[in-house]
Amino acid sequence: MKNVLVSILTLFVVKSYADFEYHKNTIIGGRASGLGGAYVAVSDDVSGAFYNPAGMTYAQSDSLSGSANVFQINKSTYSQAIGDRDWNRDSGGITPNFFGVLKKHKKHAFALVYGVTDYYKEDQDESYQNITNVSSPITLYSLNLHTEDSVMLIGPSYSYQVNDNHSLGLSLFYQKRDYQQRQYQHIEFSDASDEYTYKNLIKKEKAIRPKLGWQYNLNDKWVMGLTFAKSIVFTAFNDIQQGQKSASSTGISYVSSSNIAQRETPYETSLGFGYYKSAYTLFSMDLDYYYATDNTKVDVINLSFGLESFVNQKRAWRFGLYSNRSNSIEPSELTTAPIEHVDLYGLTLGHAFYTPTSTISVGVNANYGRGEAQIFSSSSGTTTLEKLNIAFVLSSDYGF
Amino acid sequence: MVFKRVVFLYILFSLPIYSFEFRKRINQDPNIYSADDIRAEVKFGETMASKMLSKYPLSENKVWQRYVNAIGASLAATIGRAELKYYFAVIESEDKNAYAIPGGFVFITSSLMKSMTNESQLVGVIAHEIGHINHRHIVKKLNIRGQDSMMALSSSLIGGNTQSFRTLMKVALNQGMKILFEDGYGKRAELEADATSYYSLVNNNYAVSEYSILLKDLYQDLENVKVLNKTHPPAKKRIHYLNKLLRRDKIESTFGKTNEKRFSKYFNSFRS
Repeated sequence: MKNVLVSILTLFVVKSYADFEYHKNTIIGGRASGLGGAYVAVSDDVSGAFYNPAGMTYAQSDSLSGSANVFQINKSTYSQAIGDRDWNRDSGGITPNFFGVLKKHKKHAFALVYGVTDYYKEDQDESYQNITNVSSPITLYSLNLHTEDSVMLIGPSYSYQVNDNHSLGLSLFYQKRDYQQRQYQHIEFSDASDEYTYKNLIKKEKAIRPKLGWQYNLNDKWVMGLTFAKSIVFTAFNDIQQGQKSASSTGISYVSSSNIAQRETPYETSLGFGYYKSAYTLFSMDLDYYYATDNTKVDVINLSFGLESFVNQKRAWRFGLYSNRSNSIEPSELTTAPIEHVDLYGLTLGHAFYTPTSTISVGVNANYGRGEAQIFSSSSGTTTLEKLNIAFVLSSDYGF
Repeated sequence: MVFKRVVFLYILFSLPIYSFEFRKRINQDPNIYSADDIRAEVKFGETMASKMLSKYPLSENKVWQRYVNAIGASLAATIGRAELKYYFAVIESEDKNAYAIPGGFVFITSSLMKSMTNESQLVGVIAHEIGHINHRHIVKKLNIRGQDSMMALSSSLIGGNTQSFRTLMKVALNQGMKILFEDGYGKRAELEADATSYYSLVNNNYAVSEYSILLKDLYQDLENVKVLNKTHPPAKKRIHYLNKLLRRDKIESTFGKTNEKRFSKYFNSFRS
């Protein structure tokens, strides 16, 4: 009867947010984040290096830019995961996500950018007492979980205006990912037996990420943008150390393994349109397609829409809607834990304050999704998983 | 395969060309000025006008001042910037010149006044100076803005009462005076201002030819031409430009009034 409870010990080998399950976890740049990331046909500032380097040539001046998710909140709720209780994974923190400098020279634009495109940090110290509606009543269940995952990009970007209609661009990023998860779980049963699990998981990865972009002014209102990108992993290191004691034994089993298996990354293409209705109003739309090359992943299409409306010369509102769909396969009887599939849908709201040489943007980015998670290693059963992420964004640009 | 690629690229880059100017957002338009920008311009202009008057005193002839103000006010009402209050004055100077100072200040030297023979010429000169103010020639050259510019950062944040503000103001004033007396606004700017003269003269039924005659006379004065050549394009070029506009608009060179009698009435004492 303790099988179900033992399964709880493996419950927390779940994905962290910053796993490569999503392609749009952090929206880089103040203006782009206000537009829901629909920036492929706009990208006329240094953050364009991430969206479409071809747009940078339309930047008005040399500039220095930085933005940060000044505060972010992540919440996942696994419905009735611990007996009849929900398991909540909450985290929050400050994430610096972008810094860049852009230099223009006639029809050329050069940029050097640094961005944390994905970041997640989770610390959980929780205990649950007297869990009775399970097969073996639990006196105390303790969980200590620390997860930290970050993806950093740094590199140069170049843009060239071929003529008034066309521009081309190339970004060449060095991509580095560091993931670490430590978890300790301990269960005391009502019959005085106990069991625990300790696990330390490390993943490191280095890659080159070229991004090729093109922008075309269709007429004096519409702009089209197109990009291709792929992360090419050239080195990886995965390490796991795990110790476990079951309730029925007194010995501790210990497992340690490591490998250098490299992740297969998707081919990415984005098509964007910008409608410059007037000097006050801009609509933008992006369609992102991720072609999975790993058979444990699925192809993903994301859509995003943005609206920028200037109140006057000094202030502008920005709105965005976007999807951030999971590339994970759906949980089923054929899959084993941990599997989660939750498609996220988000909205962004931003406000920008302009002076002739600088811009300060503040905004909020929220997304929500509800899906299924397979978290019990001994069962193909699923539980409902809800995710809510909120980030407050602060961005500053200085033109010179 | 190569041929197809060449054809594709040829078609791609042969498509109609659209200027990318439409991509500029309203905050990126350098020709849009906020209320703060205008306040900064006026504040700068007031200080510069004071400096000007400390160098060249106002003419004491109240009749001339009234007349120049009357003509100037009527022109400003039709061609001036609505957000500015214009001031017109005659200053005592041996140079035959006129000066436009940001914020709406127009000064005409007594020597230039004495060179005029009719009201058309006065209208042409005043309209020319209003043209400089309308086009913000000094404002743009010195980047006088309500925020973030060198001037404005001090004026808006510290109210203009500190030593650093006074230093910045002094530097900017010196640059402004250098534009007026040494460097000039630039040849293109002078022709822009002449265009303002042209439209004002034509619209008010004044003789453009008289303004051209004044320009010609000023440049024939050997002493004065040294001053003018430093800050203005050659007379020939300016007159050619005015004639070109007349031809374009199919206006006879004899077109327009001169109001010589009214001018003489006010200016008899001027020439004495």
